[in-house]
Parts: sequence; structure tokens; C-alpha cells
Amino acid sequence: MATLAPSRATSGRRPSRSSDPRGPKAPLGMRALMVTGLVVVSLLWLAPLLWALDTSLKPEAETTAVPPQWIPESGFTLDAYRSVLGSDDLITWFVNSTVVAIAVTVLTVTVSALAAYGFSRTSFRGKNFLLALTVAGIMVPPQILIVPLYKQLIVMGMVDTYWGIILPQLVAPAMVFILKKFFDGVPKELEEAARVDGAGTFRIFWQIIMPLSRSIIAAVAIFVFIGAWNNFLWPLIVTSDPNLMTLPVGLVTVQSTFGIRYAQVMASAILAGLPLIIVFMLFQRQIIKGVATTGLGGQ
Amino acid sequence: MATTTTTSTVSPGPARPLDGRVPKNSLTTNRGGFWFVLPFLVVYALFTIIPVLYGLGMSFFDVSLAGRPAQFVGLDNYAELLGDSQVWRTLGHTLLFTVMSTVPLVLVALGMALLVQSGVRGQWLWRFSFFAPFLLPVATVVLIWQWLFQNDLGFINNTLAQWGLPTVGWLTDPNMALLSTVIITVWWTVGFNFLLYLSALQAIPESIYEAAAIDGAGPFRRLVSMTLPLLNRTTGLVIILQVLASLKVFDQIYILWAGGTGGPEGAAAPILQYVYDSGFVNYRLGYASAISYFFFLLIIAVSLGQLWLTNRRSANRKGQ
Amino acid sequence: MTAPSRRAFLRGTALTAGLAGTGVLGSCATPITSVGAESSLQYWNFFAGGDGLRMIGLVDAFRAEHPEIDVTATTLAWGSPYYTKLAMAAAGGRPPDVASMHLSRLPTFAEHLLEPFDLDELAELGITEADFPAPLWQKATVNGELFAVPLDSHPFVLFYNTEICDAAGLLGPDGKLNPINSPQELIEFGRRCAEVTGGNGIAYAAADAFVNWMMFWTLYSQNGGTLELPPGGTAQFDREKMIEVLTFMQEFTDGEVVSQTADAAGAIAVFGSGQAGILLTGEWEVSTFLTTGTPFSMQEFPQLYGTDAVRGDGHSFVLPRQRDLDEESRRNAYLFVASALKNSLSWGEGGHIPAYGPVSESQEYLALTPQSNYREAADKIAFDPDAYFSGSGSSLMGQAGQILAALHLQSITPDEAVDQLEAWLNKQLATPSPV
Repeated sequence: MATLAPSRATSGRRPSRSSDPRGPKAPLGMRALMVTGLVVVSLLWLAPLLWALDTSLKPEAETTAVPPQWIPESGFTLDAYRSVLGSDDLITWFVNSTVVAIAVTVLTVTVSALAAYGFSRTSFRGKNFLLALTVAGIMVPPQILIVPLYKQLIVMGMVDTYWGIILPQLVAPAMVFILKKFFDGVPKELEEAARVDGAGTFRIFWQIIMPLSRSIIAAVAIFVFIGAWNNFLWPLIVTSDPNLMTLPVGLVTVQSTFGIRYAQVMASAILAGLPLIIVFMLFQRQIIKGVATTGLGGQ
Repeated sequence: MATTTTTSTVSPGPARPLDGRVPKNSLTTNRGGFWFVLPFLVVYALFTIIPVLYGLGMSFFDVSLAGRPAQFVGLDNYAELLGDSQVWRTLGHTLLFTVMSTVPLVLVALGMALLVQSGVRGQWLWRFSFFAPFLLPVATVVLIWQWLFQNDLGFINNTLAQWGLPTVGWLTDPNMALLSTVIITVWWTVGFNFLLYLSALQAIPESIYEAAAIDGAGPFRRLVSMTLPLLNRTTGLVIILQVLASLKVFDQIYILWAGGTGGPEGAAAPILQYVYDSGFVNYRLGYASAISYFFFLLIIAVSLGQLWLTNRRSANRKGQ
Repeated sequence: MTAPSRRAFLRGTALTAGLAGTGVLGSCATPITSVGAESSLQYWNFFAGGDGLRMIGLVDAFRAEHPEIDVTATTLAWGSPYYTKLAMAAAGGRPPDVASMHLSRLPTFAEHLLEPFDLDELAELGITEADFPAPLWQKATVNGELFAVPLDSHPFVLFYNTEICDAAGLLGPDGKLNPINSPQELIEFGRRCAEVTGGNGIAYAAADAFVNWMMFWTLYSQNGGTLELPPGGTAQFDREKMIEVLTFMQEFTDGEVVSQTADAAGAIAVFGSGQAGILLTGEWEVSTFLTTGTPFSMQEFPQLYGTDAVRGDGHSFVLPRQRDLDEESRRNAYLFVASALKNSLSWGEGGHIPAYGPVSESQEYLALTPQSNYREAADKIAFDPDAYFSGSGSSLMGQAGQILAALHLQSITPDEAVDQLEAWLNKQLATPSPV
């Protein structure tokens, strides 16, 4: 972390300097107020995470001390993590979550980018109708489909299978729309040149368009991955077999036989949240940019 | 999006006689387009269009999870839901939650973005602390807050007690249930709106401020008369996205009260919980479908508002 | 440590392979539970706390008896989350091979989601109808077929603090609590205990839906009341008898001798710390007081009205219906059920009355006190009324519990309580039944 910090600090400050006219000229009192505001709000936002982390590092007996102590009398320990990681379940769910999230991301990006290109740069019969149908799909919240989709997957024999978790999550008309808008803006001369060189449509897509679209593809991938990693409702509905559950579902569905142990509960909660937090620490700028562009509909 | 045009004058270039290619390879008609769209259409049809139709069909039958063969019941399910007080009660919770959560989720996000954009050192840390919770799975979020909100041993009540304040039944008092859910939700998801605002703020050209500074406008004046109006459209979009997200509340409430009760005396149960309860807990899949469609109508209305706003936004862009 | 990581790894590999291959969507992603030639058994239950530990003991005993069988035991949250998941798993076609179930929940499931047991196969393993109390076997039988094998019955019981009751002069020469024969006598016993403790006489969780429902259903059944819930019809019950019982229940929680607001944890804490002479709750709390060292004993819930009955339920094993039945796993399920029954003495230590005769009649069980004091209750169990919304952890229990809590609080009259309950029941009956 330490080696990465300086470069990020400078890159982080750049946008602020560019819009700085308010900064240096703001009166000192106002600046102090802003710094205080930032510190207070950050502390408020970090405190729950820190308390969870703190609890997870305590011996079980000291988690329930009244009044709460940040530093346990007998010192910190990794016991909770050891027992949590020693259980079969958490590792299984972790593997499930990882595989599901990666599969959903790769497949969604592939399927959506292909469709977006088709909608943006080719013409075929019924294109406008299909595009309108796709855009209409943005209005269909997956939540209202749980009942029919569940029944449908029973018929398809896909309840309690990995495909049953993954496939329904691939439908992302909003991402198709965002990518299409981006492709619309890619200059056509490049394609034209390639076509002159005898490239087929797929090659143009793969070798011209995709490399040019790296940033938006990354943005979409980040957005989809976060959604898939954290998805709760659909995996809850479609998995009953604990061996197939993803982390969020397993954590709240399967009970520990030993009653509530706060250090262990917090340790599993933190382990479930850690991967994305680490990725975020490493790629903060990319992720922020990705989420912001995608969140605003590719604007 | 500034690059949208520019090429149209070149593209209809009459022909490229040099390499003697067939003109059907013209640029606007890349071949095989349908095959590009097909994979998406297949998953879209299988996992959205068919379920939408199937669900509509189910809502006219008394489909049961317990396996009894279904019978056509016409509009009975819809007639029943209109008279079902639990539908209205949970819909009320949902709407109340939407209002209670959207206001702070927009205002706090805006405040955070303005503070961060002011350029105070430590940008990485500020962004991290505001956005990190958004990346946590809902199960993690709720487990942490269940522990913080715990009645006798929880951090918050203990701290209140230490300060000599009365403790609060965050998760046990029916009057607190929705508010506790709002607190958790704001903490968890405000980072998303914060990012949307931050990127909108960064898109404001600094020249605008420079001009204003020359005119002698103070920082507060600049905020009220320039920054906020410039953010109007972002705010509209953020509000609509937030309303849509809040209407679909289910996960945190389901987990917070251990999978089913929707809070003390069901005081926070949202309509999606009632869909889940009717369909999966009480085995009435047909009735649950009908409630889903009733709820769908509401979502469509809000979504149409969103589309309208997005279109107006891009139309304005083009106009500029 | 090696076993879990190996299994997780294998599962991951299989998944990757499944994703890489195309072909049949459904079949390629079955979880790996059996590796190689080992045969497997998936078992679901809802036991937490002391019951959870004892159930692990039963599973471990089975593992020791059958090392060739790879058992996966999963614990899900008690009550409606468990039954929701189980129903969804069965409807989805890939449920566990064997699962725990309350007998009161059986009717809803039996029709389409479970397979009946083969009586011959059970008999081969030494399990026959003659081994079980009649009410349990009857309740486990639906449409003439046995859909559940009872593991225990768990009645509402009476705990008493031997020191407090002795000081109050309520114990007989044998050291046992004097008989309580009428509602008024129960109130009187509470008063006498309260004189000793200077506070509560009887600990009773008036605000807990489970406890107040057990109390109500016990008393109403003792009073000869019945409740018929015909789908599409209206609730049939004896209003007078119900009012009589509710009037007593309201009088019972006077706010001095018996709290009007205690929740389950509160009532247990009060009795456990010697602040009440009597506790009315389920027998499963016995482990709690063995741990706290409270001087106590237990007995059947007294017969206060004309009929000898007590609200209870039974834990049982069921066979969820499989889309693709694996004969070997099914056979393993029978073996597991038989093993659990035969080892259920340890289960009885937790307070539940073993259902299996050879255990409940054994010297070891009879020597187990206070757990065996109330064993005869097994023959008098009054099960919750039959309806898909009834049974342990059901919406009937939740709804009736809220009404009863309000009654105990004196905020509604017995008449209003009956009206509310009737209205709710009729509304449930009017809505189309999913069963």
C-alpha cells in the first residue's frame, strides 16, 4: 500500500486543483469547516467497518464487554478467522461467489457488447423493433420476475444448479444500451479502412471496436461484477442446497449450530466484503470512473 | 458523446473502385448483424420476456408451490389483492421507505460530493470511506448493523447509555424499524450517488467559476447560483434512479429480521417481502405473481419518468 | 482441514468443467457431494443451541456406524425460513435426502412434496407402529401412508423451583409438587410462590407467541374445545369454552404474580435466577437450568379442566420428493433415521420425550430425571389444528400469539380476542388454499 500511496495522492489531487478556484480563495474559516465536515462524515462512515473489524479480532468472550472496548484486555487474536475459515461452508460459498460473479461478468459483457455492436453498426430486418424491445427491458425490474422465473427454472430443471444462478443474471439491457451509445460515437473511418483491407464484420468488431472501447467495457464489467458479487435475491430464490449458495445467501441462510458468536459472525462478514474492498483500494480511480459513467447511463 | 457525428459526410463515399469490392459491403450495412444480437436476444427472451408473460399468465391461476395442480381463476387474484390490507400496508411501507431514504440519499450524497470536490487533501481517503460500503454484499452490511444495533450489547446503545441517553430499540421497536432500515441503507448506498454527483461536479468547466470569481461572487453565492443549477439535471437523474432502487427494497429487511417477519409486528415489511411471503412462505405462487404485476405498474410509471428525463437530457446536449 | 478444502476444490473444478462444457444445462452443475465410490446422505434440520449440539451428536454417531457414508448435515433457521427453503427445494426437484420436520407441519408437505416411508423397509430396521405413542403415529400418517418417522414429542410443561416451592409449602412428602387441579389452584400456587420470592410467582412469557399459544391450546384442549378449519368454509369452534379459557388467561397475568409483558428470554432469566417458583414453557429449556444450576424439577402441565391433554408437537424425519431418486441415498436415509431413533436417549437429555419405545421405556431413560417425569404427556399430545397456515412457527401461531399478548396486557377483552382470531381464521380460510 505504502508504495502506491504517493502516486495516487497526486492523481487524486489533480481534479481538485483543476476546479480549485473555490479552494484557495475560500476564507480560512470556511476551509476549516470543510475539513471538519469531511473528517466527521468519514469517521461516521468508517466507524461501522472499523467496529466490525475490531470485533472480529477479539477473543469471543470479550466481544460482549459492557461498555464496549476497542482494545480487548487479552489482546487481539485471529481465532475467529481461524474457526470461520476452518469450516467447509465459507470456502464453498466463496468459490461459488467467485465463479458465479466472474461467469456473469464475462458472459454479460460478451453478450451485451455483441448485441450493442449489432444494434449500433449493422442493419438487419427488425432491428428497430428489437432495439425498442431491448430498451423496454430496462424498465423490467428482475425482482418482479422471481416468481415466474423460479417456476420456469423448475420446469427447465435448473433450480439448484450453477446455471440457474448465472443465466438469469446475464440479461442487462441497460448495459447493451450504454455500449450501443458508445459504439455510435466511434468514428466510422476506422471500420471503413479495415473493411478495405478485407476484414469481416466480426473481425472489425473484435480488432477495431473492442480495443477502442476498452474504457467503457471496463466500466460495464466493473458495474456488472459488483452487482453479481453482491446479488442476493435471485441466488436466495434459486438455491436451496447450501453447497450451491453464494456468500451473501449462505451467510444469512445457514445457521451456526453454536449460537451467535459475534467475533465469528463479524469475521465472516468481513471476509465476504474484503475482496471487493481490496480491489477498490488498488483500482480506486478506475472503479470510480466506471461506476460513475455506467451509473449515469453512459453519459 | 461529442464525437457522434463528423463521419457522415465521408461514409457514403460513392465507391471504392480500386479493390473492386462488391458495394453491398457498404459501411452502414455491415453483414451478419442479426447474429451479433442473437445471443443477447436468446437470454433476454428466456429470462425476461418469457417470465414476464409466464408471470402474467400465472397471475390468472392459483398456482401452488406445494404442488397441487393449478386452476384458472380469472381475475380472482387481482380482486383479492385490491381488498388485501396486507398489500396496502406493505405498499405503504415501501412508499414511506422510498421517501424516507431518497431524501437523505440525495442530500447527503450532494453534501459529500461538494465537500470532496472542495479539494481538501486526502481525496483517496474521503472517496474510500464514502464509497467503500457500497461495495459490500448486503449480508455483510446487515450483519454489521445487526451487531451495532443489538439491544443490550450493541455499540450504539452502549454508547448512548454511556452518555446518559436512553437506549433505542433499533430492531425491536415497531416505530423504529423503518428508520433503522433507512439508516443502514443510507450508509450502504450513499456512495453511489456521491460518485454520480462527484463526476458531475468534475464536468463543470472551471472557466465558469473563474468568470464568477472575477465578478466577485463569494463561495456561497457561487454554490447556490451556479453549481447547484448546473447540477439540476444530475439531481433529477439521481432522484429517479434512487426512487427506483428504493421501491425495490427487500434484501436488507429480509436479512435484518431473519428471513420473514419484516420487522417487529411486520412494521417494515415491504411489498416485495409480501410477494416472497405469499409465493414461497405461503405457497401461493399465483397470488404472488398478481401482486408482482400490481407492483410492476408502479415501477413502469417511475421508469417512464426516467426515460423521459434521460431523453430530455440528451436532447438538450445535442442542442448545445 | 484437508477434507473441506479438498471438497471445495473439487466443487470448484467440477463447476469450471461444467461451465466450459456446453450441453445439458441442468445436469452439468450438480454439486459434488459424493466423490468416488462413497455413498452420500444430505440431511437438513433446524436445530440450534443445545438441540443443535445433540443433533450433531446423533449425526456423528451415525457417521461412526457407517463410515462409508458421506453425511452432509445442514442447519437452516428455525420456523418459516426453514419450511420455505424445504418446500422450494422439494418443488425444485433437488431436495436433501432426509429432513427434519414438525409433525404439525406435515399435512401441507405430505400431499405433493414428500415420499411416504416403506413400512417393510422400516420394519427390517426394527421400526414398527407398535414402537410409537399412538398420537404421534397417527399424526405422521396422511391418507393412510406414513410420511414421517417421529423422533420425539415435545409438550408444554411445568418447571418448578424446588427450594421456593418447598418454602411456600407446595411440595408433598415425596418432594414433588402438590397436584394442581383447577385454574384457580394454579393462581393460588403462584400467589404462594410470590410470597416467598417477594416478586413474581410464576414466570410465563405472556408476550411470546410460541409460549402463549402453547398455553392457550393446552387449556382450550383441556376444556374440551376443538377447532375445525375447513378450506373455503368458516372456523368451527366452541366460543363459550374459548371465552372461559381466555378469561382465565387474562386473570392469570395479573401483572404482579405473573408478568403481563415478559418475553421468552425474560421469563427464562427470571426463573433461572430464582425469582419465580414456577415456569410454564416448553420442556427444551431443561438444559438451560441444568447449566445455571437452578434447584428445579419438572412435571407434566397440570390438568386444569376436564380433559387430560397438553399442547405439543413432534420432531420427525421425512423424505422429500426427488426428481431423480438415488436409491442408495434413499437407503442411507432409512439407515440414518433408524440410527437416530435408536440413539435418541441423548436426544431425550435435552428434554424431548423420545418417540421410539425401546428408548423411552429403557431403564436409562427412566433414570433420567427430571426429563422422564413428564414422559406420559406423549400419549396426550394435542396437536395444533389442521390447516396449511397452522403448526409450529406458522402464521397461525404468530397471529394468535399477537392477539393473546394483547389479551394478557389487558388491552382487549376475551370477547374481542375471540372475534379477532375468528376474523383472521375466516380470512385465511376464504383465501384459496395452496394445498
